[in-house]
Amino acid sequence: MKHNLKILNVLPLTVFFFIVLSSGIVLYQLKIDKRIEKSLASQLIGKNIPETLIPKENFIEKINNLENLNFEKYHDQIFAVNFFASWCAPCRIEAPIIDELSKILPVIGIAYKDKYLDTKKFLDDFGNPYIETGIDKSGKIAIEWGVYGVPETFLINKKGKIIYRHAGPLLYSIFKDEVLPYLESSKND
Amino acid sequence: MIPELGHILVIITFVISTMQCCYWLYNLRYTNIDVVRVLQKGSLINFLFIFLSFLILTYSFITSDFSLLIVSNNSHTLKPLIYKISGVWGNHEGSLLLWVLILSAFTFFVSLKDSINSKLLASIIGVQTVILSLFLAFILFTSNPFERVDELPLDGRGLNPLLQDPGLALHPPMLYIGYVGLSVSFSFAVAALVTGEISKDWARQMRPWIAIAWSALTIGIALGSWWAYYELGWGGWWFWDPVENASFMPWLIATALLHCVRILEKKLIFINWTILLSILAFSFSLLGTFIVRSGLLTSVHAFASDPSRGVFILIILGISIGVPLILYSIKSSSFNEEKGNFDIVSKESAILVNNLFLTTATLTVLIGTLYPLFLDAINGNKVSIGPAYYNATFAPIMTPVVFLMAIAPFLNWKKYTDKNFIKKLIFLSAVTLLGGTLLYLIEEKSIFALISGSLSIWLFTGVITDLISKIREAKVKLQNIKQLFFFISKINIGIHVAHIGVAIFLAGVTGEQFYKSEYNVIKKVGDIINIGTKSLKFDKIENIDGPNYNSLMATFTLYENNKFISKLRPEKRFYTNEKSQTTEAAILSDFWGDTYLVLGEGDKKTGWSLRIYSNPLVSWIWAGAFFMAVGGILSVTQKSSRFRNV
Amino acid sequence: MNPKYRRLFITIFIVLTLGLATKLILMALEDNIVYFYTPNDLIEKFGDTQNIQNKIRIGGLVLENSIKKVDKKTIFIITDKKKEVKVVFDGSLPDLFREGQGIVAEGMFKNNNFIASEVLAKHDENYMPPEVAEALKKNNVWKGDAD
Repeated sequence: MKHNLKILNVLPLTVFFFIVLSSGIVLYQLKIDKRIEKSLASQLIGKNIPETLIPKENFIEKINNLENLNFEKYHDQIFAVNFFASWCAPCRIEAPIIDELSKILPVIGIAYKDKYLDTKKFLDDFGNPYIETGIDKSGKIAIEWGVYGVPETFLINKKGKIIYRHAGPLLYSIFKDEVLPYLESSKND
Repeated sequence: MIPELGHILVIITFVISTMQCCYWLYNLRYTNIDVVRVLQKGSLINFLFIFLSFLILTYSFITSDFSLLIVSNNSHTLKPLIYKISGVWGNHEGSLLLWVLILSAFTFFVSLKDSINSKLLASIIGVQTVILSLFLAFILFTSNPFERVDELPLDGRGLNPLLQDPGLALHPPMLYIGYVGLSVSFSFAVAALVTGEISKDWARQMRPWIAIAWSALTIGIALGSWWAYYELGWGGWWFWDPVENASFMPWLIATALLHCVRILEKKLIFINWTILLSILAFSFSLLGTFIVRSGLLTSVHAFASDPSRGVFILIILGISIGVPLILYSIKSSSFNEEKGNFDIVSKESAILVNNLFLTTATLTVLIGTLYPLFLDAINGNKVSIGPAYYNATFAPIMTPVVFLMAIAPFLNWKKYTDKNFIKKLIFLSAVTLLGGTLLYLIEEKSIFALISGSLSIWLFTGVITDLISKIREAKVKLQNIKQLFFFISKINIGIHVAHIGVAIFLAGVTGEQFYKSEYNVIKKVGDIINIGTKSLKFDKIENIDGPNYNSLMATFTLYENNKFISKLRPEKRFYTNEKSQTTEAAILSDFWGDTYLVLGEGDKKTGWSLRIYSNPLVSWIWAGAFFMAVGGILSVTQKSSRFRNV
Repeated sequence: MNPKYRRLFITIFIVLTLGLATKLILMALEDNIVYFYTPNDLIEKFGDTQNIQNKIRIGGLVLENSIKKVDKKTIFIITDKKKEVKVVFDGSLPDLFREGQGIVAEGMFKNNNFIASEVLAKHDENYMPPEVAEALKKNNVWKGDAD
């Protein structure tokens, strides 16, 4: 027999091509979804920070005796809120970068679903860059802030509005390429 | 510095294997034994280097070198040694290295087969090496197991306690031997397309590799299911979970291939179909590997969140499935098929029907697995497809397969000549009718229970009948070991063992699905629970410290007809490092079934909630799988049909 | 058998089998699909839970202090921080089940109570089940607080 294309022999390739094509469409749509997701995240950006209530027995550093995390103290300056947990591995990786961040601006730590002693041990082991640390025992605060998982970092401007948010560990590259320029550009806001 | 050495070894192997691919393609038109020799040496080096690199990674896990990212994420100093080792493949990066190790081992072993003609052998090694290079690139560019952390953590994050289990420690390596083993038949098929050479010898050389891969896959799947049964504490053994399906689909296709290739050993017909099945089986293996590893099945969004891996995976799939299919559409019509007539009632027909049903069954599983993903991607609807779907599609399609499995071995190749065929059929029907009636009288369950139970009896009787008639025909006197081996190879004992395995498996499924009973009770210490002829006495409940967990352990005494049988100790374990909890069911297995006891929530005052399952014949499920795997291995020893006329 | 007839025979057989399989798959897909909703989706789509006849899955967080034990049954509330659904479950809960944990319950509605046949919380503690996380994201629970 000669080399000739038979319909039946091309069929598997056609089916495969069709599958690839449809998965391509699916993945492309996901990319669009991602864009929508981003715009969702940016809805949060520019909004006031949610009211945050942490009972005083859940404070690690008992700087104040108020029941509210006293954000007013940081009025007129840019500050950061970092959600972390002692049981979370990526938080250990980002610890030195949070430390770096705390040299520029005050960072408030919120330990997500953590225990007092564990959090304390974590801060002893990996250094304590936070100006204040509260524990979000129930995880309610994280929901109000729209946190998907730990770690997550928020930047809040002088007017108490969220200007930047990063989900996942704050890696050095992100710190350098995103956070620092952001701070630079929003100095005057 | 040692981990860096491992990394460098992977890089060197990547370079060597890529050069090997070029060398193969360059010499494609003039392959001779010298080309094969070079490729053989290359395969040996690849295998040794990857093996060394894998040893280095294992060493890092054993010595708890937390400067490595995957060690700190997946190990812990307090973990028992065996689980430190299994931690190597308990994560994405390490499991890929294991995958590549097995691939290089298979490539090396198949390269030693000088009995294959050199033109074909060069291409087989060549194709294997292309896959190896692709995977090494994937490891190097997206999933480097030797990545360091900047800050040394005090201790690792441990392995998920659910994964600290002997069944699961062995499950991935077995599964991977199965997946990767199918790459050999894939390479045979692609090599045949590239060189245009196909012969009965091609089929004979290929079948043992399929059988080995198929047996390993069977064991791998069975181990996974066994683990789910006794570790998850839900009392089930198969959940039609997408991850399970991903390993089951290549198994189904490999089963079809294993049967189909036997036709080709006799006569050069259905060449294209065999080649297609070989490509398909490995494609499903690749899908299985990636789908599970990429997190695509837990959520499409998880897949898209890591685009570099996703794109790479698509490229690998595109090359290793797309290119062979292009070759197939161009070259497959050039194979010369022999003129082969066969009767409708013949082995060939039976195998074809088996193939048709097995591939259709795979299709139903595939649709069940992918449909939720597509629906989610298209309109964001979240759906799940549970066992009900598979009971309505997979089960009816597999029923005729089991039905034919009993009688197909009676048939002769090519022609319907056996005078005893009808006689055997009548005997089978009589035994099955009797067994079915007994089943109905013992305990009346649904019609499906009756069908499934009767099928098991039908198959069991069929295999035994066939075995007896084959032994009679063989007429070999058993006086020494050599004759025994000759005898075994002459009657194809592997087929009988594997088919008996299916009968045992089906009996187990019938018992577990239709005859199990479940009790939910709340009891205090000192109470007695009656289950049929058995009774359980709640002796005590106490706290016990394990190596890296605290355990709440209850002790029960099981009596049958007031006779002491055994102590049962269900536990709830709290793993301190992971802050997680696992339920350890207490299981008493005997030949006729399991008593499965799970400790739930509770306290001293109100009592403890307990779940008790009585699962008849459940261990037959895994025993059946074991028989199938043994049958597969035995069939490797079977002399090719050239020497026989049966 | 003559190859020509054989081919015809095989083709007919394949078409029949595939046709039958397609029919089976379509029927099974129609009957056995379980849709996933959050409590808010559910109320938006159906209004009243009386209208829901099928087996469905509900995902969300287990509301704080909502877990009660009555006899062997566990009663708790699933919330997406907008709407709530009361769930009754008669069985043993997964190891990861606790207040504030993201879970998925499968079952049917009966007199405005969701009778769950299965409760799943199989996921790692670091993350919520993906469907739940996504649904919470979509409902944009935190957006309302900012206004």
